[in-house]
Amino acid sequence: MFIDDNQPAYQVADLKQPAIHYSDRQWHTCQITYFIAPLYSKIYLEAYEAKSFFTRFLLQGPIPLNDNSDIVLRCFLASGRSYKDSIAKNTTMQVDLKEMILETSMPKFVWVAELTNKKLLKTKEAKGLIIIDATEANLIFNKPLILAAYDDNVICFDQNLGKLINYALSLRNFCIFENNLQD
Amino acid sequence: MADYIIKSQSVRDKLKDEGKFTILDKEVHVKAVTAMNESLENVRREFQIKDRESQRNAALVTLTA
Repeated sequence: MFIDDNQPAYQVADLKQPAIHYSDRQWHTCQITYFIAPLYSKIYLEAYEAKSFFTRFLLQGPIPLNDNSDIVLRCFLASGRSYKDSIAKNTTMQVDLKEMILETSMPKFVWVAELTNKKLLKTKEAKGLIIIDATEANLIFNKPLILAAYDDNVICFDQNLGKLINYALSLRNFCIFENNLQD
Repeated sequence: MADYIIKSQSVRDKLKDEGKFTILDKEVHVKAVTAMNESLENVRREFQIKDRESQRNAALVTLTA
C-alpha cells in the first residue's frame, strides 16, 4: 500500500515497480534505488559521525590497529536489546567476550562496527567489534564507547575507576550480526 | 531468595589477577585521545557545514511530477 505525494493515498503498487500505476507511461520503468529513513529522535549520533568515530578509534585511538591490517568495517545500527539477543544466540563468539557484552548496560540504540576482511566476509565472519552509544551526543574523550574488542584486546570503561581500560583476551572469529541485515 | 551471578565480573577479576589488565591513562594514551578529539571535532564541524549547505540547496529545488 503506497502513500505517494504524486498520487491519491493508499494506492496498491509493487516495490519492484513503484510507479506502474502512473498514467504517464514514462514512469512505468521507475525503480527504487535508494531511500531516506528518519532516525529515531533520541539517536543523537549521526551515522557519518559514528563511522568517523570507528575509523579514528582504530587508527588514532589508545590501542591502534596493528600496521598493515586488512580490515573491512561493517557498520550498522541496532537496538541494544536485539544486539544482545543476537550475541546471546551467537555460539561462535569467545565466551568471556560474550559475557562481557551481555552484562554491559546498553542504551536503546547502538552503532556497531564489526571488523572483518574480504576473506572472512565471504564466510560471514568477523574478528572484532566496536559498540558505541547511538544516543550519546558528545563525541570527545571516547564518551560514546561501550566496548571494543580487536587484536586480542577488549577496551571498555571501568565504572569504579572511571577510566578506559584494556583487557588482554585471546579472541576468535565469530559469526556476523545478520538479523534484519540479510541480503 | 534469588542470587545474581555476574559472570563478566569474575572474568574481569580473573584477567586482573593474571595481569592482563592495563589502565589506559598513560601519556601516550592521553595524547592519542586528545588527537582523536580534535579529529572528531573537525568531523562534526564538517558535517554541520555539509548539512546546512544541503538544507539551503534543498530549499531552492522544487520537485514536480
